[in-house]
Amino acid sequence: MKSRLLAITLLLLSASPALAEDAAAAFGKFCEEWMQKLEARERRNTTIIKWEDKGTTVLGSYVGYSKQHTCELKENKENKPPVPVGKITYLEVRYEKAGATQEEAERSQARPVETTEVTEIFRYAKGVWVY
Amino acid sequence: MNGKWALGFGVALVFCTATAFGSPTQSGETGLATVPTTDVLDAWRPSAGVHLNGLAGSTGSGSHELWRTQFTLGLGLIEDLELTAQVPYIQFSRDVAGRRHTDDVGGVRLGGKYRLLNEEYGDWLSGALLAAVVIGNGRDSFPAILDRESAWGRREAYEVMAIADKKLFSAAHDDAVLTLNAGGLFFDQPEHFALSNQSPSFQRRFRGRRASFSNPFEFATALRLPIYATENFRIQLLEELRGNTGTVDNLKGSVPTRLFSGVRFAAANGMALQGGADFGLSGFLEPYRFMASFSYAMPEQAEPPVPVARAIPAPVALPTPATAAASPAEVLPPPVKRKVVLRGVKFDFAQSTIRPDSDAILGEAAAALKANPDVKVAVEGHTDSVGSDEYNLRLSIHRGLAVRERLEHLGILHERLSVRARGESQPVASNDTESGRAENRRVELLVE
Repeated sequence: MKSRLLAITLLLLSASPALAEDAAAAFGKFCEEWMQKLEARERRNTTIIKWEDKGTTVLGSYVGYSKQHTCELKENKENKPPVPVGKITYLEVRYEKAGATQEEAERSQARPVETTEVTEIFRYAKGVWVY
Repeated sequence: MNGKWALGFGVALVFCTATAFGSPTQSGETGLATVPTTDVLDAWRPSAGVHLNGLAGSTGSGSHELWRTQFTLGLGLIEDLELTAQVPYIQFSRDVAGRRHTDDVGGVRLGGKYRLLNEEYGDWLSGALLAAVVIGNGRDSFPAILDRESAWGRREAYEVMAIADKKLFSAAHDDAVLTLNAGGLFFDQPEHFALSNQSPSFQRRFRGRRASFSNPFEFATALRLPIYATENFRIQLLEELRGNTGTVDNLKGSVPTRLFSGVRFAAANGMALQGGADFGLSGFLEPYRFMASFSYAMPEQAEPPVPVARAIPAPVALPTPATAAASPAEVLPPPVKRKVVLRGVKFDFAQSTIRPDSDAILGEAAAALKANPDVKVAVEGHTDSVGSDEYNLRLSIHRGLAVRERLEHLGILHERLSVRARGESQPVASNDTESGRAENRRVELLVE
């Protein structure tokens, strides 16, 4: 029994560095794919703007995302075995478009009106980054 | 044996699927030791149980024994509604004119409990209505001398009860809850309670008293107090005061009232043990007895596989932290808000129980909060659009509450964490694809 426990412990200890390397290798790709998802979200958001008639102005807003971002990788060592954790930080921006008519508002340059710093936390499990 | 004493004991085995902490309410019959609470089984969650109870004592005219075996099935039908079916077998033996006489009764009790109000959703208290029909085997000879068992000797009885729970205070990992019940049993043939239907010795004993029993009115108040709790188990003190009219004590002009005092141990793996002493404050047959029970809640259903990112093995050397290649500079106002999106937190299917593999994410969130001790956050639960608006709203607040509880366990003060339900109202992606729905299922911590 003791030898079996020792073997399992050694297996876990030896597996941990490899897990971290795999996670690190996968996270760069995952991070970029996630930002592409945000780009796709932003494109979709621009197509479903709800326009509000404010009398002399037609106003619409949507959520977009900064291109700039950070991808941070670390291990949560309180878990046994340690679990790779990834963080992606970017800015979420609320844009507004305005014009005398809806057509004019649609053609107008979007104006950023509010910015939120967003950190998304992911974990690595069974060879993939989980969301 | 002489005198009005009785000694009883009970054992309950309950097998069910339920939230992680087993609860006697899963038997479909009770919430605490004997008093129903507003707890209901989650939607489409079944439960099954067997309950054994024994009682032996003396009435002064001879000894008696009562054994009760009861099978229970329960099912959470929709949110806040559970249905139960109980099949008891009760055997009552006593000395009658020097001879041992045994009666057995049984039948089926079909009922449901509907929760109307829920403190977790912002109501001032939790409230539920319980209704059941008791179809006994109609053995008229079964003496109407015991509280609820009386019903099984009748052909039909109807039970209605209003239940209210109020959380008194929260302790670490557990709450103190006060429960109030009021209701009654209504018999289709109350004449079966007539004294003339009882044994000769019984009739002699009560000659000159009321001729029949009335439909019992039941009332109860119960208190559940946390003694000690961790993430893995809870120890609770149970205090119950309950009574009902319409049984033997009424013949003496008093309302039978009983006080139960006990302790309950509930483990996160679903096992629960409880025991205590039950005292009759005005009782005829049972001045006191001891009770004990054991229950087990089976593990929950696992959530169907959640779509995860398909990482393509690529030799990307990633500094920590790393800044990806910046796009052309964007002119953006400085951030005025901050939020953390917890992406890897997973719950059991349609439940609010956090799966253990989510601990790493919550650990990171807790570490960030500890590093910023002045920060308060709102925990917002978001769902995809599968299910009704109301269902998702409730699911999201349950999950928000579960995340708050886990963060509290990790050392974050309760006062720093508020909870908001968002349901499916704030999707970040399309709900038309599984990938989009996965993006929409999330818990956000909004810095306030």
